Amino acid sequence: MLSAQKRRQRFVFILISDGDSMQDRETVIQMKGITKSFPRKIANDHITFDVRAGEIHALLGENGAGKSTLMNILSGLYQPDSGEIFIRGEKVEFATPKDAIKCGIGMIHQHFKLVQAFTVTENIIMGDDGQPFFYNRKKAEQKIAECAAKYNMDIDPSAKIWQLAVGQQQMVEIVKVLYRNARVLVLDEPTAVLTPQESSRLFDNLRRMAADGCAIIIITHKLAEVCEIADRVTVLRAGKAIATIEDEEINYRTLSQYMMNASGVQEQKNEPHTAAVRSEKPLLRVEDLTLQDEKKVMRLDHVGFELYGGEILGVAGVSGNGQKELAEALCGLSSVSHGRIILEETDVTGYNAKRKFRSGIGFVPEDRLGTGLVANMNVGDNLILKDYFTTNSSNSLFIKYSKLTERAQSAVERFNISVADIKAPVRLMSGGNLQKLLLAREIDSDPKVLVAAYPVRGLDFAAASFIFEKLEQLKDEGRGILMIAEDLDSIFKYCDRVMVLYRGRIMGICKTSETSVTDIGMMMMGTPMEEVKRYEAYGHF
Amino acid sequence: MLNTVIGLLNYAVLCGTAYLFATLGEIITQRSGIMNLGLEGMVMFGAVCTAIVTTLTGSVLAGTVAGMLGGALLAALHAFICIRLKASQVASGLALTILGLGMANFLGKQFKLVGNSMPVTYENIKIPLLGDIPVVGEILFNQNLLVYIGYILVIVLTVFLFKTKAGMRLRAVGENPAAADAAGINVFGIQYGYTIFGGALAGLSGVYFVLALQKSFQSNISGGAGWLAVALVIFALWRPSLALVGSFMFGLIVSFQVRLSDFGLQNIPPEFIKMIPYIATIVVLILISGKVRRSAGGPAALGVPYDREER
Amino acid sequence: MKHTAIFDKCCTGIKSFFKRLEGVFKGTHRIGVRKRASGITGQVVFSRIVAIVAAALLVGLVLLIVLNDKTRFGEALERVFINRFFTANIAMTIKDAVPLIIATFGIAVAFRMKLWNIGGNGQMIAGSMFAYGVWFYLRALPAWVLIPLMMLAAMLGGAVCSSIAAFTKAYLNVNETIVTLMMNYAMIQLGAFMISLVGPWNAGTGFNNSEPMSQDVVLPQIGKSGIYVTVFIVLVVMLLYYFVMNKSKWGYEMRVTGENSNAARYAGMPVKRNIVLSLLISGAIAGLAGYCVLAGNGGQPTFSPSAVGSIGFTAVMVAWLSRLNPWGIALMALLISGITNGANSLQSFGVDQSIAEFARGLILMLILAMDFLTRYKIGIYEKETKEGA
Repeated sequence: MLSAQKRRQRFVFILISDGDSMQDRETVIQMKGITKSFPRKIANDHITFDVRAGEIHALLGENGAGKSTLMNILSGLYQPDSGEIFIRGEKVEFATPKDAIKCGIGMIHQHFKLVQAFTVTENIIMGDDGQPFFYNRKKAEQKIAECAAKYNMDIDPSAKIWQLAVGQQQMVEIVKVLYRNARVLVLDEPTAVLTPQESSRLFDNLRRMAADGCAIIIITHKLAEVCEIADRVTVLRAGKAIATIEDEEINYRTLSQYMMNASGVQEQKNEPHTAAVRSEKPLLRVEDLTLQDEKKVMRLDHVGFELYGGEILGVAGVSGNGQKELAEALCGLSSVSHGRIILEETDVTGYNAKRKFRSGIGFVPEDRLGTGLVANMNVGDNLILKDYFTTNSSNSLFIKYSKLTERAQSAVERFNISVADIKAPVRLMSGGNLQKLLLAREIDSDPKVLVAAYPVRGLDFAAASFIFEKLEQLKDEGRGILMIAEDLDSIFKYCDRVMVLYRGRIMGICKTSETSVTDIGMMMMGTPMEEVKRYEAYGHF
Repeated sequence: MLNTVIGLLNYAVLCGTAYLFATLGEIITQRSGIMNLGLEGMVMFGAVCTAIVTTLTGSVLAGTVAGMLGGALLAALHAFICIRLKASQVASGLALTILGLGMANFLGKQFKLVGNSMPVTYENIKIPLLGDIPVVGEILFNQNLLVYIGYILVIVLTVFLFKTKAGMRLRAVGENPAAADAAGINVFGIQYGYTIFGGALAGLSGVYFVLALQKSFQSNISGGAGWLAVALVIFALWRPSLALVGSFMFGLIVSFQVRLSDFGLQNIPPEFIKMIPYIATIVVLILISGKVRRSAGGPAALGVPYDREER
Repeated sequence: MKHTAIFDKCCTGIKSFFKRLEGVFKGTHRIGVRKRASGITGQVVFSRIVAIVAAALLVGLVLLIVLNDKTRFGEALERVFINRFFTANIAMTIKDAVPLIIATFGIAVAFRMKLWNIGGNGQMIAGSMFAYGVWFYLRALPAWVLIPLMMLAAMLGGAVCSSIAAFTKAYLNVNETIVTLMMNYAMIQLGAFMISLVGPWNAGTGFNNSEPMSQDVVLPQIGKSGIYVTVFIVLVVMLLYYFVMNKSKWGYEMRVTGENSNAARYAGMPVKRNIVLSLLISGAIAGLAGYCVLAGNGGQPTFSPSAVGSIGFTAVMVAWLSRLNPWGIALMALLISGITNGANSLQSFGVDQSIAEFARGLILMLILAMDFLTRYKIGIYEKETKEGA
């Protein structure tokens, strides 16, 4: 795969001369020895980090590695306990975000701070103290249009935010900082909410800005994107800066090794074990599933596959490519316009959530506290969420609360859930325990098929291992598990087969033993399996 | 016949202005994201304050200021409870209604003001040129000073809300306080300030009842004006200009109901006509609940207390 | 050994407190508030007591000013805050509290689903209207048929009144707060019409009155205690509320839907249907409270839209402040009714009767303000900036 810089050089052929190398560029930001700690942990531990003009520098690390804290310090939201910041060689101290803005640093948050009912212009100028009392709309619109046009960004200053797509809203956030003359942009998980098309457009815009001399920092945990866009990568882990990798050496394998391992270079190639019982006939057959959203975008594009008992089928892909829609269709939360879902010979396509659950499709959603659990209720109340109406939990009128406490106790023990007080609301529980609770509920209902969306997202190693253990147990019992995950390591460790989704379409399904991380990576970027195989065979497309 | 209609419309403007001030105040308050259901209490409390001070001092100005201060005081209490103490806005508003009404009735009876006419009042002033326009002049420009202040206030508030930076910031706070906060806007200051301002205007409605409309003090002189104002805010789609139209329409309903016999309609029970504003508001709410909602609905963060810690 | 351990703990505690206090001046610490994990009962009781004391002080202040005969100040204060609770006069408190408690349970049912039903007044009027109507048109029937019929009619009336809010909320997501509020005033007007000089129920006396109902449909006292049999209705409602809300399947659904409608949908619960049911039942119970005002509380057994007063609003506040706990509801309703009733009787002291409403507003306001203490803890904390990562 081409390195990011080479790609960009092919893309922008006017502004950068071929002889220009990254090293020659001016260092715009330098952060030296930055340390910041909070009552419960050290977020940044003597981190040194620098950014050059005209480069796209990715800050890579898992959740909790300290990336956001570091950037919050740079943007003036936090003050570091120790360490120094230099802008173009001059030492600076930011007391408030406004100081950072004055130095030309603009931060684009993951969760947009936009007023939906206002126009683009109003959002951009509302914080601007420089505006006169009777603000001049036309003048502001002009300036905004200029800022946007400079980088070929297509937004209408008089459009209302609610009318814009998510990708365009992000563009508004970008123009907002450009309007205040920012030359350093910090983007926090920018692609988390974008569709793949919007992500491409964002990257194009970023390349243009970098070509113009802006310095761009991207906070992310997505390896695939770093490979695509970054000129340099700094990997953070547990508050420390582990390594800064230049250009040519940026590839998937190196990066993932730095992110995961304490020591460098081990190559853990654990393979999933094959279950003793693998069913002959598929447990679940999905045929030609198609779904369009209100804006007529194809979310599921003739998706079809089979899931056998005794196996774990992984679903890989950059988030937003149809995984959520697939999961919701399978478990009954949304209906499809076309296609069939067949569970063990029964056509369950039209069943609603309740019926699908009763037929034997379990679902562990990615949004634990938002969808899967009721935050303010306790363990017992949450356990019966999906079967409170069965004789297991209630008689004709009342819920058997005494039985409930027993169930809660038993679940807590079997799944190693640590709770201070079993009657306390579950929102006090950690992510790992929440996930175990979700899993306990679904597994106890004895499903034939379990759909698990990002089951170990945000969990530490111990909790994640436990979850996978339980999933493997299920697999050994002959159930079929569909696991949606972003982290290819887990997929290769635990899944027997893997399916890659890109823009709602399946790029390929194959056994994990017969493919590699690189191949999957390519499929995730949109290359169908056949082409990947050809590339493997011939070394080019 | 024409004269009867003109008389009716003139009376409609007279009655309608009573609702206008409270409505304008509540529009501003709600635009900052705070829901103030205690309007009725503020109107009545303002009324009784006005009555007391006017009777004591004989000055219309002093009475007016007193009424506005009374409303502002209660609103400050509401703001403190909702913003600082983070209590439920609905609960606080209702408590304030009960308190305000209670205080008004109590003070009114204790000071033996009930049924008293006011020593000085707002009298009609006919505006020289405009008042001579046939029909329209008689309806709109042969009114008391407060009505004219009402017109001016509507214009000022409209310009303020939609054309000035400060107005835009106010609207930003009501739509998305987190975004406003991130942009450096002082969210709490705005919410406090405009809630109190809204209360002052509600008090001004009370002043109007006592000094301009009834020219005396009665218990329940407002006749539920505070509640009508809450309805009017929705009816006006949170816009001052529409508040003017709405107030006059509601004023028309009230005055129509009083003058039914003039039109030979004395057989219609006045109560049904009095019901119209409330039913109409429900209808408006239903209508804006659909796709229309986006441009017509209330501030997005209305009634939701802003907590910086919560993210 | 144990004593020294406790002593040590105290010492460290005090030392740390002073260190933090010092920090306030140095700028490293601040006096602030922090959200509690959950409101502890002890805290709740404490905050209520503070509120009552504050109310007593304020009312006392007012009384000092307005009382004609200042020497009777103590007596007056006692009348409001003590008399109605700790003497035989508690019967009056209970009597007054009955419709309030029932109405509050009605509001609480909606509240479970995080729905604000502030149309209690209107629903109570509708309830008493339908009940009166049953008597008015069917008075030939024997009392033992009429009474249950009237109760059912009252519940139907309340449900009809809240039905608009119910359906528009469920299917159109219209703000139920405003709709129920508007219905209050619509009902007042409708009721006013019914008893007006041209209305069907006018008693013909030349005033806007309706005919009093016959004595056989009026619910009696229990012996001579001053407490009416309606108190049994309260008990039944309380029991039903407790069992349905906390133990039944439907109560479970309501709690889940109120807490997290996404989770409810994920679990396959019929969210829209539950919204409608919840508001209908809420209205029905409030309607029943209206019936009690009409026929069971010792007042004039005539229909009058003003008889309901502001019970509906007070009910919303009691429901919110008592956090939907049945005992809390009963206790707070008794507290408020007692104070109001006591203040009402100050007429004999030369104070106008309207001090009752004033006192009621005051105590509600203070309890609301003090409620803050239960949800937040005031203390001295280390200054730290927002946590991220």
